[in-house]
Amino acid sequence: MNDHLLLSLHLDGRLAGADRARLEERLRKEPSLQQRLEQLQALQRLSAALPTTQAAFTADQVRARPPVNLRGWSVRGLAAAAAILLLTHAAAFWFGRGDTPPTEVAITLAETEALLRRAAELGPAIPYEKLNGQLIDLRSGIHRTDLARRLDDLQHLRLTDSERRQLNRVRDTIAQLELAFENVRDPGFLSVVVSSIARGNLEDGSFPRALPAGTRFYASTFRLGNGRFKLVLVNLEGGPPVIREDEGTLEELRKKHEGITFIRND
Amino acid sequence: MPGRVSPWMQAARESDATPAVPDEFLAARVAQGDGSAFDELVERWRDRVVDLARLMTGDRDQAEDIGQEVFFRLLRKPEAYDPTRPFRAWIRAVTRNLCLDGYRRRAARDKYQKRAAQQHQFGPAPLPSPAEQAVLSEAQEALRATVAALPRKFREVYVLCAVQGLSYEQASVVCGCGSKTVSTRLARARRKVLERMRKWL
Repeated sequence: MNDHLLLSLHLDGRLAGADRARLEERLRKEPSLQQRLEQLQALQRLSAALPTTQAAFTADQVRARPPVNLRGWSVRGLAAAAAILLLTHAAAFWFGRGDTPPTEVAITLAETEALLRRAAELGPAIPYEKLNGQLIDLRSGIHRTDLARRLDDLQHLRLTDSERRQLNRVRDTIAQLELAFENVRDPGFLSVVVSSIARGNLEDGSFPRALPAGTRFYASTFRLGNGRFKLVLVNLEGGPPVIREDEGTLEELRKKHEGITFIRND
Repeated sequence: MPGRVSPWMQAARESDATPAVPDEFLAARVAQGDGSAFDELVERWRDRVVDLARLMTGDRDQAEDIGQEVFFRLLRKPEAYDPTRPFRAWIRAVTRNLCLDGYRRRAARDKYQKRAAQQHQFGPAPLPSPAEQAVLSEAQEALRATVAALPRKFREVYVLCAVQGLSYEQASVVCGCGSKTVSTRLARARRKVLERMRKWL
């Protein structure tokens, strides 16, 4: 056993019996050893007296912390936001002209009504008051990563299992849309989809109504020009997102899609 | 939820005879979704966790981040903690692992090196009054820097035993090695620290 180990054990009161007696005898006879022990004791006093760092966070801040897979997105998130912003403006320009019809397949009235009926049978929607405080600052310009993070924050609320499942479906769909973003062929189309999630359903607090009873889809409208609007429905039933659209005047859409809040994204 | 107190916690606070609620019990309550138990655990442990992370990483901001991550993991995956084992060993082990995982290591290292370079360039900060306190503070900062520069296996036993006062056996649980290994590593760590801190002692 070398001297360093002996002194360290002695310092910690771990030497006993004959080992201790031998060391104490050496300490009396060897000033250099005694000096090293005194230095170690001083070092120990300094170490033990190091002020404890005071944590600056609270339990609430921990609750609001995004999961690790959504952190570190700042650069990619900014890039994505910039891309989406560009696409959204391009789409707004495209739709705003009013003389170019959208290319997406329009949902039929029967399909829409069936979807709405099915959604209505699935139980209560997420209470708006549970979401309002969290979503109030989700305004235009938000990008999908921010939205995903916000939704993830909602996991910390005391939601029912059903509500939690709804949110999980929303998050899954956003993740799927992120994957779809990689392979998109028509940037204008995707920008509508992303915008419909990021803006339309949240801007006027229609989140729970746009995610009615079981949260099977998102819905939003976009101005096409000439008094006509596009309705976008994003199916949230799992698997690849199914995106259906319809268009018409607001009156026509309201009549056809009763229960959906229509929003002017002018 | 924040601000809400469970009936059992309320009873514990109102009764003078009630002993302190064990950490293990609180952790089990967290697994059942008890927000007030989580609040209590954060209150009890956040300083110690951040302090350990700061000593392990040498970076105050990173330590704060790791501290939040430790409790975040408890919140998100409370089942990761086995309530039959000591909570204090578990939370220190999680903290240690996060520190060692290289969690945002590059950013912290860059930041630390940048700061060290600035200190080297501009010299030590002027001593505030009283001077003795400043010298002590400077020695403490030197000690922090010295400990942070130790090799990992020496750093962790030094932090746990010499700074935080854990026994060899407790540190061995955190580090996942034998207590004899802890004692030899600690002796070597002390030797290394002593070599660099001699002028302050």
